[in-house]
Amino acid sequence: MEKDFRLIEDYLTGQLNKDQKKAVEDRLEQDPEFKQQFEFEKQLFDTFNDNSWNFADKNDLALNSYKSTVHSDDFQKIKESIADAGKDYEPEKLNRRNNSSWILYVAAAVVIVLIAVQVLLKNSVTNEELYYTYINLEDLPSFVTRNEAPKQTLAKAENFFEQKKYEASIALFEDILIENEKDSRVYIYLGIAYTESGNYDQATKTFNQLIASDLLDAEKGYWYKALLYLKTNDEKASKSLLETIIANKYYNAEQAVELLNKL
Amino acid sequence: MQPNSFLNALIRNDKKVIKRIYKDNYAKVLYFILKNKGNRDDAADIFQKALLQLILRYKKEPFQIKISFEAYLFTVCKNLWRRELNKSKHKVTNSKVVELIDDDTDIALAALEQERWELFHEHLEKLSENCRKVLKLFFNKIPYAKIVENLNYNSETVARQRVFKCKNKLKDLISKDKRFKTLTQL
Repeated sequence: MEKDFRLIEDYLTGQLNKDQKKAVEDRLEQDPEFKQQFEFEKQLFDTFNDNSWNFADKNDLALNSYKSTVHSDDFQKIKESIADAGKDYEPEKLNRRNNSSWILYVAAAVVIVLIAVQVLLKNSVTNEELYYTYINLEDLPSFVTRNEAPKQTLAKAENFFEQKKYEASIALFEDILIENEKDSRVYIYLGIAYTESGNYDQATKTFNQLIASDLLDAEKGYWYKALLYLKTNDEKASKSLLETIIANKYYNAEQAVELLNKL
Repeated sequence: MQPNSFLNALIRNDKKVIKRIYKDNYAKVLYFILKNKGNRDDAADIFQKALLQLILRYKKEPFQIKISFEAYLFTVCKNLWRRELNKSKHKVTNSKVVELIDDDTDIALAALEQERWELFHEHLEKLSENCRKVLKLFFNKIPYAKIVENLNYNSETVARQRVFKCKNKLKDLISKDKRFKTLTQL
């Protein structure tokens, strides 16, 4: 059994040569039990790999239970309402673009020239602007999955954070750190929350704790600390940290290169 | 508003609430999609499909959202976008002739896939922190040598055993779930 799993694993992670692959594929056709194991393993990979998706190909029964709902009048009516509400947010309609396309091209050219001139004249944005460009608050890893009770505090803390109620989220995140097993995301959220509420000393401390921890993502602390220094206008300290990140290929090394060039 | 009141309002076709959902959530989703190889049209499309998917599922069988509605909707949107990005790859590797499916059927398929995703993730969350960490690396195809390094295991054999054990535990949990049969045979 264990040997089979190893084989399936090697197949799915692309470690077999052509002949070995062929052997697995042949066996898939002949051995239903092996095939079943294989499918399950593949589903796990497709579900939990960040770059894949576990597609449904069949199961008409389950699909049919949806189909009747899809074709109901009710559903079609709600669909219209949603399309209506979405109109305010849709990009400009195509036909308008066609009618006046040359004007748009000229306008675009003018804008490009203007931007170029602006970049030349005013060669740098403020450090605070850079901070907000790179901290990327929307993209912070979320704690949110459908969970049982203990994780509610995390979701609540994250929610406060998103609503920019930083004091409230700090209180919750601090509690979580005291009680719970450590999680690098908690440090990151907490550090940023301190930064946003102007408590730079605590923010520094928090990121230092992350860096000193034995967590998998400890190195992320360098990146967020570098951004913190940027926010406090300490360019020298920020640069030195960015260089550390690049030299050690820590988290976000590529972005660090980009940012360093802008400083 | 409670998370489920949003769902109830959606299936009631409450236009005011639908507008509010757009107002409160659209920007975040748009931003996420623009950052991840998508454009404005993609964002409009995904957001609409996410709402329709929720309505479809809720109409079929009401369910409880255990986190905030905003966070839940965002997860659904992220998954739909991941699905969209993987679509072309899926069509190529799938030897069967792919029939053209209409939008509505596609939403129904995505709903099933999202249900399955949640089933798998619910059980993953039940594992120890340690198991989740090692499996996360494993499923993202990080070589064992790296896993050993990252998690301070003594050897590759130890790492392999750990993966084997954690993965079996996860499979056991998933296969004992009563939703397992319908959802894994998709």
